Amino acid sequence: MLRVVVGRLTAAVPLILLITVGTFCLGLLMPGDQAYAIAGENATPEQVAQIRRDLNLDDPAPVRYLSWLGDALTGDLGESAATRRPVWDEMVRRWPVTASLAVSALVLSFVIGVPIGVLQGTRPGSRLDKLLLGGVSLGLATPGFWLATMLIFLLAVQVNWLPAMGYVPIEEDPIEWARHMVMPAFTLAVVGAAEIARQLRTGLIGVMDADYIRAAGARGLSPRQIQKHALRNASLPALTIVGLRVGHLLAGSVIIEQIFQFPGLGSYTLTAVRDQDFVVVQGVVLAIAVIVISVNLVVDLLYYWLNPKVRLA
Amino acid sequence: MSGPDADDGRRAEEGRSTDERRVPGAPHATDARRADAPDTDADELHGWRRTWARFRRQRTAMTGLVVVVALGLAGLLAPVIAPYDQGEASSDFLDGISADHWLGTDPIGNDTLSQMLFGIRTSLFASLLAVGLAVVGGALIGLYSGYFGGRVDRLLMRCVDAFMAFPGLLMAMVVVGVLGTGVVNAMIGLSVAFVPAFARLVRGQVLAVREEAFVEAAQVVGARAPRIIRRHILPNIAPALIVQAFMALGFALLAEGALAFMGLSVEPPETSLGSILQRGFTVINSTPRLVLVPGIAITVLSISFNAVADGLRDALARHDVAELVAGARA
Repeated sequence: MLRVVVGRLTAAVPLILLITVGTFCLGLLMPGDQAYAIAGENATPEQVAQIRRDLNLDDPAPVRYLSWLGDALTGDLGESAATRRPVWDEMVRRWPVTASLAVSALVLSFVIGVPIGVLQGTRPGSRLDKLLLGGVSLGLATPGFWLATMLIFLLAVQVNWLPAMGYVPIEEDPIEWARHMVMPAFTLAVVGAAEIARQLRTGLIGVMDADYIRAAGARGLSPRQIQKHALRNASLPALTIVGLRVGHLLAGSVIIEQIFQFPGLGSYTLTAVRDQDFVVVQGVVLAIAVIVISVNLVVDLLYYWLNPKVRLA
Repeated sequence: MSGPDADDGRRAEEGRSTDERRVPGAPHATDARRADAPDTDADELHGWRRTWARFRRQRTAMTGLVVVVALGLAGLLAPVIAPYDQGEASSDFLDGISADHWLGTDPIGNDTLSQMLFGIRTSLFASLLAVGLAVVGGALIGLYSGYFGGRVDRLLMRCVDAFMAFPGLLMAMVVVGVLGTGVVNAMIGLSVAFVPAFARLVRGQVLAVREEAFVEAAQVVGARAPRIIRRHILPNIAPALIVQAFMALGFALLAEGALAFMGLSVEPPETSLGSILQRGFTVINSTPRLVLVPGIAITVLSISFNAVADGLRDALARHDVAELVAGARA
């Protein structure tokens, strides 16, 4: 087990480094001089020179990258050109918003996706299966930002059941937090739910064909007990979806946070992208790469731990 | 003319067509129709024609294709058929559905139907740009990596792995954050996000095709790599590449919508479906129509691209295998 953990970790580190190198190279392509962009139009040459010194812009690119990386390892990701606030502090401040949104969406996608997938997988070809299949493909194709706007119109404008926007921290008021979270989390959960349902359906149909299920039936197990056995085996691939979803959840949260006015990592990213605030973009990319890759690492290890076929091979 | 074997095989295929299912006891009628339709002759039913014949039989895929072609034409002809010019405002603000404005107008008096036509045009062009760039970039990397292998291959695939772990929409946003907003920059960003998947696909296909006897034969007679790639490898990996491209088009359409909604893609007076939706969102309390219409268009187009991709995948499946299946069914 330990060897696997170490092996996966050593594979993950170069992956993260490669992404940061890629982002840094993109920054080199940035049109115009960063120092002038930061200093503004009315800056004196001395101010620009000062900024150049602060950012070490006169050093060669590899030196700059290494010094950025060194700082990043100590938690210093530089400061935003627009607000002059440290990127790390800002991300730490905003992280709970995005994390609670992503986790809610992930949980919700299982709550919605698993029953649908089980219903479909246990009666493939039925009318219900076909109906749900249509729903699943619709869920995969509907743009999240459109769904969000329609939900706001229906549930906030028309009937006024839920607040249209804003975020309330969970420690302040859990009920209000939940009320503000329903629509954004649901919007983000739809695609994941559809993918989980599809995966589970395919998995169940495959497993129900297996010899050991037929043997269980022959020994007189009830359909319910058989389904329990089948589900255990069919649910493993669905687990990998968690790893795949995390990146999409973080990407999706950018637009969802904008629509619902959440002060999270997503809206921070969007502002930085709009302002071409490269220091912030670079920091956010690093943070997201680390999150995505570590979640996938955990899922991998969980898979390894849960699946004896992989573990004993 | 065709031999009896070929004819039998074709009958097995024809047996599944809708015409014959409706009139199961009248094989002569089908034969007669076949006789004066030379394009279904068995000897001709190869390559793209055969794919088309298979594609045509799938109702979902055909519906998708019709939608894509119809909306594509509408977008292409937008400057001709749109009742109002792009950016031309009338004096009717937030008008309902009327004879002058079939889909009403928005708060600044733009005719929604015209906006939609121009929006479809921009969104489709943008998606094509993103996917086109990604196909070229991905194919170049994949061909090189798959054909030559070695250390460069390992390095390239490491990079591909790293960038595949990063969510596509965020990748596009990062590129916009560097290059600045605008539809071309946004689509360059999106293509960067697509390249790894295309590179991986092409590499895998090349690795499989490279082992085929005809490639070996070409190498033995002294053909150079560019020629082998062009004449023997590209034609064989094209089907998979085309299917993937249609899948990517469906995703590109959604992603362009998202980027435009965030204000990172098109800039006024240009409109795409996402920017119409975004402007509609500001007045959603009074006129949900302005959000509903572009949203439906994006969803329908995206589903259609996916349907075409699925249909193509089935139609392009290896012919010999499909033949066996058809024979077994008959």
